[in-house]
Amino acid sequence: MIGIAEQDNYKSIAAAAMVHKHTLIARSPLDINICKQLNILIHEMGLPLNKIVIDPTVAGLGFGIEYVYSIMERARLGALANDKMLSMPIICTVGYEANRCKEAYASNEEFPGWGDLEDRGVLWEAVTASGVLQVGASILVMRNPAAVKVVQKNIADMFNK
Amino acid sequence: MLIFGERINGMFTDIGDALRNKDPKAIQYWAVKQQEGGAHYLDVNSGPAIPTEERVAAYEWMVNVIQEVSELPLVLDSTNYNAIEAGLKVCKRPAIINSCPAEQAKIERVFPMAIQYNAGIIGLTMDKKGIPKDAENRVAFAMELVAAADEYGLAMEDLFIDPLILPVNVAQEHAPEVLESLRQVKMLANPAPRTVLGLSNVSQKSPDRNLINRTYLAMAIASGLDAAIMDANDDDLVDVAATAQILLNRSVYADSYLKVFRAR
Repeated sequence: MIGIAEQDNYKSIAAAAMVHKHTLIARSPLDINICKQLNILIHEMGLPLNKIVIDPTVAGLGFGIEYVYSIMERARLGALANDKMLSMPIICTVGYEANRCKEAYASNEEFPGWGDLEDRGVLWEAVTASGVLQVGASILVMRNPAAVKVVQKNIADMFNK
Repeated sequence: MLIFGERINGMFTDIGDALRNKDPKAIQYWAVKQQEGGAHYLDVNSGPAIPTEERVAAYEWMVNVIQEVSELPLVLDSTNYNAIEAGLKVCKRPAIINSCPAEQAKIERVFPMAIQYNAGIIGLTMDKKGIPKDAENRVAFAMELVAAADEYGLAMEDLFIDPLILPVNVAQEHAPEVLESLRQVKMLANPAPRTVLGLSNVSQKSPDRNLINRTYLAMAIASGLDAAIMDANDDDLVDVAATAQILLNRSVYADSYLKVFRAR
């Protein structure tokens, strides 16, 4: 998978993906119109739809994840209604976004009431990931191996119910 | 919103000539051209071009030559049910039978045939006495067709109710009644039957045909229209259908939505 293809640079990256048969990550700034439009433009260049992955740009827990959820929900509902330009898998850069939230890195000394940093950081990333999973994320890019374990358990639990 | 391309009809001189001369060129030309315009189905009507006794064979020939050049499913449009059956036998994809009025004898002929060939039906809200003036009686006929679908086991989404629009220059009072019928037909069953109109009829012999077609299409879609037998090569008309999909929030907006609507 290569990227990141955005509205103003997609042509060269899409061409590279096409020539070397890679899958392309198409990123839109939390905007369903641009998301769909970018997929259309890339597809028009000749890249098959099954070679595109949507990166809707996510946010960490507490920093607009509700809006992320609503945009992803709209994309998934579109896909379920047979909208081919929104039917790609969704990739979410959860690790990067969650770990730049203050709650995920501020020290115990700075905020004694927030609980132990080690647990807090893991939980912040894991809960962000679980949120986007609920609304149809297919690929999670994560940072903390301990958070990965929590999310894997969450996925296993979802499938066992 | 489904577009049924209307152009392959023996009433048009080039199609009539094609049928008489057994020359598939014009028929195949319009099959491809309508598909390019945005048609999802192709309506196939042999019209009055050939003698009654030759119609079954001619109809089968039409279906075959269309399928040589187009992958689109067909709407088999004829008053001759033997011709339709001949067409159904050679259709490669599930077709739609056009049409069946709310008359018991015709229901008994058409509905079992639809089930046998996995086809849909366009059901007309009329009987032997003709087309009702008001919405109420149109809906009553629609109910009979819905009941027939239930009885014969035809899926509601395979029943297309046509509340029959008449030319606005001579039968203006029908236009709002048809819109009201569309709204009410959608409440007859759950899931609801689908709806269709022979759109171009609304503008017969009016000078501003395209404008009337476009305006009525937008109004009808907002009232519950799911499909129209229409001019698939009037780009502005197809654009209206595409834009209505967006404004009713049925498909996700993108700047290129007009292009996407036509994409296959």
